[in-house]
Amino acid sequence: MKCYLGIDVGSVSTNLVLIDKENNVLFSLYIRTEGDPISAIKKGLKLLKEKIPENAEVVGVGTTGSARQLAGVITGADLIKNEITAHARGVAHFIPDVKTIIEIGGQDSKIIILENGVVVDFGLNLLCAAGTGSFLDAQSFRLKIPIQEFGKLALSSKQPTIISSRCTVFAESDMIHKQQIGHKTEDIVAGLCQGLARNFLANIAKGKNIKPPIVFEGGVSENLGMRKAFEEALKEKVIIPKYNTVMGAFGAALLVKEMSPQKSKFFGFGVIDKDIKCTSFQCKGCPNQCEVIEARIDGKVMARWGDRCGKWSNLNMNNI
Amino acid sequence: MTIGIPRALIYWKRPDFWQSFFENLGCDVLLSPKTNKEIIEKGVKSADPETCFSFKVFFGHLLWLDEKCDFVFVPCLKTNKEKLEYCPKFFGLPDLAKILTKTPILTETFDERKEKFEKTLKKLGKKLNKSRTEIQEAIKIALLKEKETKEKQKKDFFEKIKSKKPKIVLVSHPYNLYDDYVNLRTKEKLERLGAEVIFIDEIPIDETRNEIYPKFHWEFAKEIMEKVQAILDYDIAGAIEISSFQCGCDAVLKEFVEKEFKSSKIPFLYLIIDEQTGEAGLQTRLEAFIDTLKS
Repeated sequence: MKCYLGIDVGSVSTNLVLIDKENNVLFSLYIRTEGDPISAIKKGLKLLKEKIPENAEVVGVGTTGSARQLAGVITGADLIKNEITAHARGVAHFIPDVKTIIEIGGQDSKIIILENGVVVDFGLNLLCAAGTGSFLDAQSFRLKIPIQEFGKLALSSKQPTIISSRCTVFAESDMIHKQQIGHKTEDIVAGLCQGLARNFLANIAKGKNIKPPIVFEGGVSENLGMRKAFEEALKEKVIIPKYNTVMGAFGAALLVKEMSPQKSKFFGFGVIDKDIKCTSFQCKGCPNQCEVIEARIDGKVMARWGDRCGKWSNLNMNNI
Repeated sequence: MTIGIPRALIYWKRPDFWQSFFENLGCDVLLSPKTNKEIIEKGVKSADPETCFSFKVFFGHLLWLDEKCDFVFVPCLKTNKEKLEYCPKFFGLPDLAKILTKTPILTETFDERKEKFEKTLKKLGKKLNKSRTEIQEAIKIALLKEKETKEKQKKDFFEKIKSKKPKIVLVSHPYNLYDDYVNLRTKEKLERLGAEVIFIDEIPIDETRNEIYPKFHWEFAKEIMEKVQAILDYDIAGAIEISSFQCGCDAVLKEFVEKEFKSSKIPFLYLIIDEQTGEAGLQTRLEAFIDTLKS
């Protein structure tokens, strides 16, 4: 059975999705990257190897997410795709007439506007990670509420308090202040969700033509409080699609399937046991002093990147 | 005598003119090198944190020239010949420069509400003890040189517009467009993705065109808006505006630029650059933007 693998490596989570020719999901996985994308990819592949049907053959691999380059190099990907295209492709599979996608992940948030299943406009958070999963994580830790309970708690609030949403640093001090003057935790949590939704719509989604159907996906879409906050702010129903937390990986799998590589470059599951290392050095060739990243599998240089001039990244790897 | 010119901000507005002018006055011109990491670090360290990224870059170039020449040329640009104002930060530039450098600053105030450009240039030349005729000759040659470049640019534009590749217009100030360290080689990245890149300032303007854009206070706003409207006559696939972090003027201008492209159904992408900008984030946006055009 021919299968296609999508790998989405982000700042907070690493996701893998395996699909068959009929786009059925055979395997999906959401694990934390925990600051170590290489180990996360290896771990993901290992878990996939344990579960993969015996007759399955991976005939295409697509990577996406902020570590797509690295993931592509160490797995031997056939397609390395930006996360906007990947998410849009994934969502459009489930909801073909989708017009707006709100995706909030670990450290970035995006809005994608589609017409007839095609991306026509998008926005990403520009300079800070305000209102993304990492911030919610930090607050749930501070309030000693497990992140899985965070959204449910927000729903129980009858009187959400107003939390400043312009910047998460201010939001945090505002929350502390509200605690100190005696607001209930659920009201603060609900206020925070509202603030983040407001912040998203005022910054990332500013000037975008938001039309229903609106889809909300990414890790933060698991949060019931955020779902409600978006529905209230948008005055529209918000759809949470199937595989909402691994949509990027699903999209990457679909895209590589559509590309249908003649012969996959996939290295196979052998990489799990290989020694994969990334090192960096500072090039002294010019005053730019670029930091060049070098990826090695079992000591062999697989790729280099990070240089502005291309002196290192263009080196033919076969000659090393 | 050596005149240092920082390869930043004002320089990019008329690169040929200034260099040629001083050279034809019999001076040696020392241009600071292309922006690099060292220059940015110098600039960021010395500039006020509230200032925009482009000014930080300028200060880096200024400090690079310090003690390497007899004068550093930093004009005070106030208004152009249409009596439109330059960015207010340009006004104070020579005064700020004087605080930072040991090398004396050569300056003159260009305010065409009060005085013709040529007249101010003559005052500038006199500071270097040049005669009237020497200065006049230098102006003439410099203007000719500038005209030549403009004509070549116009020719190139019509070549580019014939290209079969998707054409993308990059909208920004010349000091962002032509400094590829600052814009993280956006042009090259787009070309690698298969696009034909046109800089907004390369677009020729038909003088007989009716003004339809709103009246602006700033010279660059008028220039950018009239060129945005001019490019809409051609078949372009998309437009990308690049803005320096903390540029107040761009915050206003962006709204108009975006509206103009979007009302013509041309995909538009807005990017902000600063000393922290990561290449990965930029690459993601450009790739996604190109994907948008393909479909």
